[in-house]
Amino acid sequence: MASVEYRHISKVYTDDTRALEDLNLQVEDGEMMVLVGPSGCGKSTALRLLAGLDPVTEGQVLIDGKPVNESPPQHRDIAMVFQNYALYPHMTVRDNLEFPLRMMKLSRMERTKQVEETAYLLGLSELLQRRPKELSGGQCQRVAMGRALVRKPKVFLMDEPLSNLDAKLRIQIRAEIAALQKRLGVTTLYVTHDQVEAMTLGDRIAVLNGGRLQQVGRPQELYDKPDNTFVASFLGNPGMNIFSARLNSEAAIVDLADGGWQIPLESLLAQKPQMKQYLDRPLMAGLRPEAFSTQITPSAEVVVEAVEPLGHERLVYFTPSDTMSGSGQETLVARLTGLPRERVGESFRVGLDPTRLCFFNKEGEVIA
Amino acid sequence: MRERRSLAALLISAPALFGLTLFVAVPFFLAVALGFTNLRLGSPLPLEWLGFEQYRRILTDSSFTRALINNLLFALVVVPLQTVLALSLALLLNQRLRGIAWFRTIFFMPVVFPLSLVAVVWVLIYAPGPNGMMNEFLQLVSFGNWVPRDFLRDPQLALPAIMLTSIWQGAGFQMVILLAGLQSISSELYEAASIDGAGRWRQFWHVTLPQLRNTLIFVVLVTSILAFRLFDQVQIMTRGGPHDATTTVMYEAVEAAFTRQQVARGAAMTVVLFLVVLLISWLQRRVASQERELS
Repeated sequence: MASVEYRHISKVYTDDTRALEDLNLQVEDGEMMVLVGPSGCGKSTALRLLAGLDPVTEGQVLIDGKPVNESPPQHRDIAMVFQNYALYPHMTVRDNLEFPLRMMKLSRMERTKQVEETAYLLGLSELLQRRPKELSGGQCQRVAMGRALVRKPKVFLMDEPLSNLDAKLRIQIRAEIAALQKRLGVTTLYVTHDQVEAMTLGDRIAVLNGGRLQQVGRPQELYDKPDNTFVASFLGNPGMNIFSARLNSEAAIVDLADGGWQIPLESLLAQKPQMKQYLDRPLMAGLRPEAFSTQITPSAEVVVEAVEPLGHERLVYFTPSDTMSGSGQETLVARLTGLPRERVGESFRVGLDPTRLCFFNKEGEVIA
Repeated sequence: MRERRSLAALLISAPALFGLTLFVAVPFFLAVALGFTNLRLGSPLPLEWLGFEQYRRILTDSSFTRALINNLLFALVVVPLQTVLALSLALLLNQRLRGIAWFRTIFFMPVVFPLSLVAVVWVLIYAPGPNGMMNEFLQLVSFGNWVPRDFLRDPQLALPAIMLTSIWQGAGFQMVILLAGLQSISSELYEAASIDGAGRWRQFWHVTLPQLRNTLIFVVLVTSILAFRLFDQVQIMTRGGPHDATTTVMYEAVEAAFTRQQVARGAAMTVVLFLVVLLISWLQRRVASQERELS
């Protein structure tokens, strides 16, 4: 068990790609930290730097408070599950699991004991004599996990471990990983581009974009109070709606989506007094799709663009109809319960919950 | 429809089949048949059927048995040495360095040179007397303790000298094949192994060698077959001498058939050579099929 810290980490590859820019991140002992972001955001780089597979350009990586920049992967006592599993094709499952233990020069008896324990834990006992070629994707995934777990490493790294599995298996193994991590209490860094995986697995989530850390926090915290519009629209499926907002001091109202909805300025300022300094300046507002409802006020007339029924709920894409023409208002989406009643091209009234509004300045950073 | 297609197939393959028959099959069966006779070119004696007597004669001929032993020795020394050298070169050249393509080209160059040319150059290198390049070199590295020798006329040094030439010439070819094998190994396996605690040496032992196994089997067997066909270097550098110290099966066969015009004798020798090569190929199939079962 160990803590991990990235301290002012930058990584520039030899072809001058800047993969990471001043990353500061602490992972507590026993914590499951999920690094999430779109492809090319630097999340895998962060993992490779911690593993020692690539050298750090600037800054320090610490495991248990000790800098490890100079130590090779062999000496870091970490284990990793690769996206393509990287099982040794010429070895049986048993040999694959045993390999890290052989490298530790454990006695044969000790090795056998630990291999069998791990195999039992992961339900691999029947497969020990097989070779990777003879295994299904899910089984390969378990072997890769087993090989990482077998020697009880300080830190456990997982690089998109579920991306090669089909949807159903992914959900099943996702739950298994979560349960296993809780039971073993091993510090884990988990990289994924899938925000659902991040939300369900992480004790905390670190969102990265373009090599920069956007926000770190508990999943619900990030979901409800994103630090910027990137995190707001990246998390959630669909992500947060972002639209224009204006605090109109003359009329004492807040114009949302260019006049689509209006709320009293006073009540907003009472809730968020720090917004006073943004009076009459262009702003952005964010609202989760589920904060729209047909039964609440303030409501506005909107035009339906598309409807996606999901069985237990429906996603309705719409544009506010009262907005000034030519304002370039984007399509918004509402998550509504019940059977679809809206028809494409027709209009209907939809209300929003003003307490769930987030506000961002024009750089996209959260105000309140 | 089916008949027309097989007719077309026959037509398309006809030129190749014709060539194969004329230049491979016919000479082969002729050689087998002639091997049982006493055919000599320009001999006034009538053609006689000797049966296995011809084979008894060549197998009791001291020059021929010496040739077989030389071939075997040559294979036993050259195949492992050349393979290890080629593997080391391949490992060295399988790195991302500036100008690595140049190094690869340089090490592959001996393969491109004609063997006869290589042999002539090495005859010069092995020149007798203190001014010969090899003698001078050995004198330099032994701090003057080396007594100049005439490598190619020394019964003890002639075969090793030819071995060295062959290794120098052939290693580049194996290197290229092994390099291709090395590059097909996924870098993720090395990363996984290093995280699992394996250092460079153990990565080589547990990842590189097992992953390279099939390539190595191929390289070793091709080199073994080439070792038994050794001829050019011998012909140019030593002409089998001194005292049969460097003679080979191929050299004996060519000598018999074309210098002494004992065509039947030469033919029988090539049949023996064919059987040896066949044995090696059979071994290759056996080892390779075991590997297929394993993976």
